[in-house]
Amino acid sequence: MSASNTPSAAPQPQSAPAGQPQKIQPLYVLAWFLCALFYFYQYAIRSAPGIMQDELTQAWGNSHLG
Amino acid sequence: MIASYYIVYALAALAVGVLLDRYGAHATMPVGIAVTSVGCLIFAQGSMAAGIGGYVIQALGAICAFVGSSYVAARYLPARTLALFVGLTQCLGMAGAAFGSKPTRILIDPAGSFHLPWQTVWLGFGVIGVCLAIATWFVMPRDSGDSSAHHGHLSAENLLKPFKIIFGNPQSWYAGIIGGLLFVPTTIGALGWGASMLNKGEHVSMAFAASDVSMVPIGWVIGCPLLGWISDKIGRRKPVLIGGAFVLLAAALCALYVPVGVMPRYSVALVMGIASGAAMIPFSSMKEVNPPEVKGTAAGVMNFLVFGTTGVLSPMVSA
Repeated sequence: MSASNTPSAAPQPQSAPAGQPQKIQPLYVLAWFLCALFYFYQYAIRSAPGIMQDELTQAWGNSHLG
Repeated sequence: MIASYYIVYALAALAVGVLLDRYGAHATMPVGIAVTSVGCLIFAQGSMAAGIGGYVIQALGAICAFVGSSYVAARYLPARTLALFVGLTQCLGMAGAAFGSKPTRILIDPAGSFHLPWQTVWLGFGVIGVCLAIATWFVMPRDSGDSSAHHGHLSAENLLKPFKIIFGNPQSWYAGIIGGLLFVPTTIGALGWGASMLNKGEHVSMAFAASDVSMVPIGWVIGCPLLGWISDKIGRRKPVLIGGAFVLLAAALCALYVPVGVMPRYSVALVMGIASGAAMIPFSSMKEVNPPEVKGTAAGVMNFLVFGTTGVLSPMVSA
């Protein structure tokens, strides 16, 4: 795996080591999970106007924007 | 109209990538989540103007979600699990798209036992978002990007530099275009006109066609983490990518040429979805072919190229 992440095509001066851990750390997994949960949540709310189409049409007059 | 939405989305994803690289996830992600929740609270005001405004604000905040999740996976989790976690991220997103609307429907259903007004539902969404933002604020590691030495002061040149690095690397283009092309058979093909093809071409009932097509996202939910895990396990990207693409091709040919009923029910659509999980592999490759200090921008560029490929191809395919 490590062989494949040598940035070959980028003539970039090596900056300080990124500090990416070698082992899975629970706190970092939780941090990732919260972001992924946000991804779940934003899909759920993005589909919500479509779900409540009838109610929105009723509340906003006869416009189908939603 | 839809096209302009995609353009704004793709450009905003680029901006989010730069923000992540410059200021780190601890400064960026809670703000993105908070913006989305504020959009929900505005929607809850009830008027049509508030609804449209709130929806736009939600969309702006929501851009952080995928770019941010894959940034955090690339930054804080071991490199050998990257494809797995990128796949799991997409898996949660697809699950949100597939099942996220069900609870909403139950809550506002006039015949149901809750029958909440829709404004209350938005208020609830907003509160959930605020909680998520606060939790993320506490949990997210506090560092201001992993490349402080590299970035320097805020200037046009420094802002454009990551893009020069990424777009100057042909590997980035390959990753983006291959990723985009792998999305097309399912997003435009199966989900776009799969149901009407089965209905009109194979003369199955519309209900069967719709439930057959709905197996594709379920295949995604399985395939994204599975193919990522395989790729991490064997330590290679290309065999999984090519293998997935061939299985996808085989499934598409089956869908076209094998009469309905020969293959087990739902199997073709399911296999097609699972094989499409290969489309997430280039998201990991994108980070691996570019230097670590531009990984946020790389995630944004990847989104941009994938959306761009789909956007360019969709009028050609569906015309």
